[in-house]
Amino acid sequence: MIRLSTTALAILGLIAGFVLLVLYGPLLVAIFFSFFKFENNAVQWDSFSFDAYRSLIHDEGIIDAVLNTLLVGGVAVCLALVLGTALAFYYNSSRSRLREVLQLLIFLPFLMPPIITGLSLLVFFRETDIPRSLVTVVIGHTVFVLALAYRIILARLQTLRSSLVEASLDLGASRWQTFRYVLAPSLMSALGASAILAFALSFDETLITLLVTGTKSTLPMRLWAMMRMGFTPDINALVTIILAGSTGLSLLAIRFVGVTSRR
Amino acid sequence: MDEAPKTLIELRQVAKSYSGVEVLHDVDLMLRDGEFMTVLGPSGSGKTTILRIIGGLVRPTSGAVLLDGTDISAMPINRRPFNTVFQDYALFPHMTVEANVGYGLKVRGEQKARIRERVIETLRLVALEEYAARYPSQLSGGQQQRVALARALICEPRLILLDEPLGALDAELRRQMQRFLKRLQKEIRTTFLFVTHDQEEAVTIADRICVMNNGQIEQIGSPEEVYYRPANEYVARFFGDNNLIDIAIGSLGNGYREVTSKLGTFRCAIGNRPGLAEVTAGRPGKLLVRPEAIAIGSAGDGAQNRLRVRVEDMSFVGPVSQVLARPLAEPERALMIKLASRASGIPLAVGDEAEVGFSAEECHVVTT
Amino acid sequence: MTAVRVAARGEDERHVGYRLVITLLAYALPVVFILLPLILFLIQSFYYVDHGDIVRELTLRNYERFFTGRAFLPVFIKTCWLCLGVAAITVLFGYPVAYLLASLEGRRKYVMMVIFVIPLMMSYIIKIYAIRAILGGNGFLNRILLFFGIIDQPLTFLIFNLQAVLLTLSVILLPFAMLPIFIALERIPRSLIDASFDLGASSFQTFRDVIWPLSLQGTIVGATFTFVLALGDFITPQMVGGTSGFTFGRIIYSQFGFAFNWPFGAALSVILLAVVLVAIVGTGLLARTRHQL
Repeated sequence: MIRLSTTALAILGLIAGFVLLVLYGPLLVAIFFSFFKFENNAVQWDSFSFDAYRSLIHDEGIIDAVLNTLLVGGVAVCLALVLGTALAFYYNSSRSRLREVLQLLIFLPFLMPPIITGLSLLVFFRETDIPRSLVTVVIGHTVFVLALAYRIILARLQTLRSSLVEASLDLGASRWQTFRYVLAPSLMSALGASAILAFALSFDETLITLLVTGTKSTLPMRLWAMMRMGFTPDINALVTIILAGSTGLSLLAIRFVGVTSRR
Repeated sequence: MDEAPKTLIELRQVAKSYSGVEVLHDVDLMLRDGEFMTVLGPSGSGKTTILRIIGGLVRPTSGAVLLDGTDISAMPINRRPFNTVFQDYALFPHMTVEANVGYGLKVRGEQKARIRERVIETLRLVALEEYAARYPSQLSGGQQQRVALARALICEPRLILLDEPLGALDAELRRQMQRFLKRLQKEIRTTFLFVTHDQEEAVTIADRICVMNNGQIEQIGSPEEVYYRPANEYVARFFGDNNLIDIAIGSLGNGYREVTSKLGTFRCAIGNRPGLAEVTAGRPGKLLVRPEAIAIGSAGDGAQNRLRVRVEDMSFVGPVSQVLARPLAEPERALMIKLASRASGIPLAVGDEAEVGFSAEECHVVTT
Repeated sequence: MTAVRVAARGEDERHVGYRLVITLLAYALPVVFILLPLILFLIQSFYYVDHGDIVRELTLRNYERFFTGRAFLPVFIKTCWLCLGVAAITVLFGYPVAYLLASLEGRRKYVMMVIFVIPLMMSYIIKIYAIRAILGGNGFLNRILLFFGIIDQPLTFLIFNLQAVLLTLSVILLPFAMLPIFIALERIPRSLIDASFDLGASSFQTFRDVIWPLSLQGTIVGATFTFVLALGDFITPQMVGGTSGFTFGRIIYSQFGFAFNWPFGAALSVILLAVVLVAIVGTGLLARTRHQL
């Protein structure tokens, strides 16, 4: 940990403050306009209301898109967790050189610009005649977040002492019991953190989705379409709600990770 | 009460190699039911490998492991009726002490109430019944060690394997645990196989010691046997300080054999000394005399072996005082003598000449 | 030290077959959905389009067109410079922030980290839209500046051009640069810093000789990460770039949209990928020559 003199602290604080302002600018704009109206090229300061939120509930198109986004996110995360765990175990127990290649493959979609991941999948779906739909979106998201889940789970797996598994077997447990009682609980924090991060990534994933989506849309797609036509006020309400929700989740995640990492 | 000791585990010609490096060479070992055996050796001697082979954590490259005469080499770890106390304790960090100790019974499908009962019982055995609800991270090293022990005991195994369990404890705690383990083992009469590199520890707790070196067993015997009748120079050097003198075989006398050396001619008793027989047959060997077996001055009257020395150094080491002496016949050689300390001091001064003696019975011959 | 390798020494016949099946399963997904698409993509870049149909014959004409055509190579180079600029800005501002965070204690540190990461949770598109609203002629920034009398005419150069793209991407990607730097700074053992002070170094010297070299790797990672993300972005230029803010990403995207020349688009993407790989590998090598912590 670094010690700072008061001048250094002041300067850094100023820079950080500026950055904070810049980063939160867009957020504040969105939140602000979810409560206030903008008409006649001016802010209507007396127009504070929850109208935007109310109309949000009635906006079927948006609600539909959000539900799709949640669905895609949920499925992609589940797949990523299961596959990530399986692959992490495989990497950990394998001794072949090939496992490095496999690991590189897993990381690739995350390292490359999303446009390339999306495009290659697009071409793939076309060449194999798989119709673009929510399924292809799920595949795209899974491939993308797999790297994250894999990395986090593997890191945790590698810190587990082999003597714990040996002890469990020594005491008479079967391999399945060992996984269930000894390994899985230790992986909980990694799985939890992966799930949250992966879901957050998937939720707002725009670039890949744009390329492999079919007719049903996720939220980012809906917003993309609306961009041409103009946004409705309830969008700001939606953004505010999402912000609040994800902030809450992150704080929860921090506590979660903080608590379990003590052991 | 003395019946012939029954063999619980037998290792027959067990060898183990890792990628071409041989860690165990054709080891034969018979572990008796109900005994406390210590496997002693430096790191790399293969002692932990033996433990892990018996426990099933490692498969031998060749040879067989027998339990009650039946080959169990192919039996997986979780089927073997043995439990291991690991060097790092391997307590499950996310389970309480109670859950840890009860684990072996839980995976067997025992009823919760019954498990609870047995756990409390076993924790009482290791004096930790008040800590049942704690987590391993909340316990001290010594306490964790006892939990690991309890966890192994509760399954009532035929054999408990302990992999240098006391290594991480401070000296005083270690001594306490040694006494505790010894007492416990006598009480429950389960066979204990204890691996360590500390010879003092081995001598303190074991019924029999198995001395290992470079993947081979050098000697198996009681602490007195390995101390007073080491099979070879390696074992001799392993335990305590000693005086080793190169010798050549001389004539046979009445109940003794004469041996000649630069320091003079000595007599060594013949009984129960396979090393002497081997050296007589032609192998190179040395005469072994323990420092505490040598008496100085008048105390040595009547000893068959005598020689003159000059005192070079004396140090007080608590209950014992060490004297470093140079034989007049061979001043380059050092002779170590240990005497019981006296409050009034030892009647010797540096530079003194003295006569020392030791009996033929105290002599031993080891192959080099 | 592995967790699940207990009986692997001294293989069991039964286990070998089992392992083979597991191995095949493990490789299945990554190969089918990652490797295969990439290979197909690569092959696609060697096809060409004839009157709206994709002709499946191998040719180099797409690559030729890129290097010889007047529009493409310059835009590509311009885009690369732009993204380097983005990387530079994000690191320039991200480092001090990361440094400040790393100097905080316990709870505060993680709370502050969350505060700086929250902006990532805002919808990407809406964020760009909001930035547009801020930077525009009629936007917040101008209003505030006008209000305080700092300027008397609204600034028009902040929007619908390359500078706008640069600024927008920087704002969006800043947290991505900050995180690796923060992690790298956190990794530095306290004892090294204490030792430096103990030996008589000033704060500045300690920073220059101890902290900075050890955090360099994380900084490079942050810069590379930002660079790669910026390079492939095609939405931002579309929304705030206007007509002059044309980036390579937009060109690629349009090949799959209006221009309908998938093979050409694929070729352009391959070139983009090549640059990305060079960047990753290059900086990876650069980082490795540094002393690892």
